Amino acid sequence: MVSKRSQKIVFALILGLSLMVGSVVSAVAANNKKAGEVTPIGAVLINGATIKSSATIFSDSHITTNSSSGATANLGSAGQIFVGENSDVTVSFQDNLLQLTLNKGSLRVKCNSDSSARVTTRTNTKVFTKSGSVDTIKEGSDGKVITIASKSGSATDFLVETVSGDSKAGAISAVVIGSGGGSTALATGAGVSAAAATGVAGRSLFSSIFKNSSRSTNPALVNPTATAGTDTNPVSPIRP
Amino acid sequence: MIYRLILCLVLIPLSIFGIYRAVQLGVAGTIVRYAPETIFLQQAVESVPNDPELHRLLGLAYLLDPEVTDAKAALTELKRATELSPYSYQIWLVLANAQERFGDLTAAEESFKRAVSLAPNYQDPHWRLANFYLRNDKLAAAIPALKQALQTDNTQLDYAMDLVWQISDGDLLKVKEILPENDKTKAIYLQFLINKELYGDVLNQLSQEVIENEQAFTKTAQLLMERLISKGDYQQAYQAWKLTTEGRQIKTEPGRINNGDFATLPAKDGLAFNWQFHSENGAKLLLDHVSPSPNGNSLRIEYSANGSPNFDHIEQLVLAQPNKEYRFSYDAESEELVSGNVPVFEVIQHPGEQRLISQPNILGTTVWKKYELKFTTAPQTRAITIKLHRSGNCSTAGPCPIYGKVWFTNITLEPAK
Repeated sequence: MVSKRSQKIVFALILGLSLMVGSVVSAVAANNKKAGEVTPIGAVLINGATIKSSATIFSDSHITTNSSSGATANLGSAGQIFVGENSDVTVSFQDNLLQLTLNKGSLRVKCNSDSSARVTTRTNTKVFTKSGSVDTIKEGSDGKVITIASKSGSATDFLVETVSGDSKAGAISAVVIGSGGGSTALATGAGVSAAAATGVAGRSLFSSIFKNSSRSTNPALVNPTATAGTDTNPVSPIRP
Repeated sequence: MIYRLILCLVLIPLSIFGIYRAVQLGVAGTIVRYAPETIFLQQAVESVPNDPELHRLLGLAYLLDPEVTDAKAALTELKRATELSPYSYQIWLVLANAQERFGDLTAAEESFKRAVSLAPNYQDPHWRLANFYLRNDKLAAAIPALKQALQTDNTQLDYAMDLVWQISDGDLLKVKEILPENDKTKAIYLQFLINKELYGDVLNQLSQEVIENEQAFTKTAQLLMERLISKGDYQQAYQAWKLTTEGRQIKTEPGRINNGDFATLPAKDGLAFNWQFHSENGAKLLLDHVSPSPNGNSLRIEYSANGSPNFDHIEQLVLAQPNKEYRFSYDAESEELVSGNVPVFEVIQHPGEQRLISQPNILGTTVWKKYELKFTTAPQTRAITIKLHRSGNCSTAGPCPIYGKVWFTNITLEPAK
């Protein structure tokens, strides 16, 4: 059953897409640089620059979305990614390999049977596997670097979502969603319950990447150096 | 009579058909609006098979919805959409994407060009065609399309420059080719060069552009100055500051403190090579016009601060030479200044952040007195920050409040003779 919020999000998504006239991609070698196509949904930054319409994306690019935006990127034979709201992702890709760094937010990755993907993150993460299988590996001396790797040989479709506000840094929970729509909690903990896992079952990951994205609980300070008071003029000329 | 009958025979079926179509479209539109899942789009297309917009949306869903990704099905839907609405540039654009995804690059290029011909004054078809060329290593073809796309809207100019930069291996001439001719895009271009850390190129071009239109480029000069300071290139940062509106108005020679006698009204938002003021609650900064002499100016600070506040009152960056002896001096007086810790001048050398402190004897009420600090710069020193600071750390335990007034003027930094 699709929730009302999910419907609204998908509605907004489709409307946005219809306005932007969609996108497609073919990743080709351009001057030895792998190229794909990214389609923004709302305000999206790539390498710090704004895009508002489908555009080319080269390997080693940085995608940033805000609280009301997302992006899809077709990276040719390497696969397809879907970046949720409030996300920050670095994208590298070769012919059959996707290497992604998820700094925050959510990311859905689709690879075909010839390609594989690795998602690296340093924060708590939830992983939902729609098809194929993935391994999660803790790396680094502090165990906080987590790599989620898909296996080539079968098509893989999975969602990675960072979890904010969890004090158990480095912990990871993996939940696998059965292809038939039922869900099985393979491992739960660090803020993910079996009930939460069940709640994800049957939901369109296409919409859930936007729905599940965590919102910032620490909004940036505006003018953090300002102090209270009425004296806003730094120097006032006086004539006593 | 016969005419009325004929008219009725024509109009009634037409009206019925019109109502039927309206209901059909309304139902389809409602489905799309309130249940825009791909499955509902598929049902809507079945219900209203001749609506090009529904075919376009369904084609789009086949391209973008990970649940139903199917380039071949997208192609079928979009071809049908173009048959039903051959003059919609938006449909041609999506069809071009589907063809590109499918690997039919020739057909994709034709479809992109068709979209451009249908909407030559719209930005998006040009932008999408240009990006198609970029993805397919046709930079020469992409450049005019990009330039056309950026003529009326430069929102994506930054990214366009980055794309051309990447694909041309950093060929600035290629990047410049996509620029529309106006000051705003020149400023964006210079900012792009700053982000690429091509500071020398920016300084050269900026010094020419500023002559033509100072206002348009002063923020670019400021950004360049800030980046150069953060990189530790103080000499070039000073040159960039001289290109800002503030820097152009100031005639002080490099290596000297600007406006040390507060003869001119300090700028509210002074930049690094000018006084920067930080007025805060409990430490009010004022410009006094009658002290130390009837015609002299000085900086007056009025303290009324409980607790243990830290204050950074004023600071200025000054160019300096390495291994050189300098003399830093200033005049100060006070009135009923009470505190366990009075304001001091910090002399901070860059790089290295080596700090020297000059503490004036201004507790209570004092008359004007000159204070001096002689020092030799370190071998790596290239610039010095002069900062007037009050620390909230008293030597005794407990709070460290401050009350009273203090004046400063004639702040100078010069090579010792």
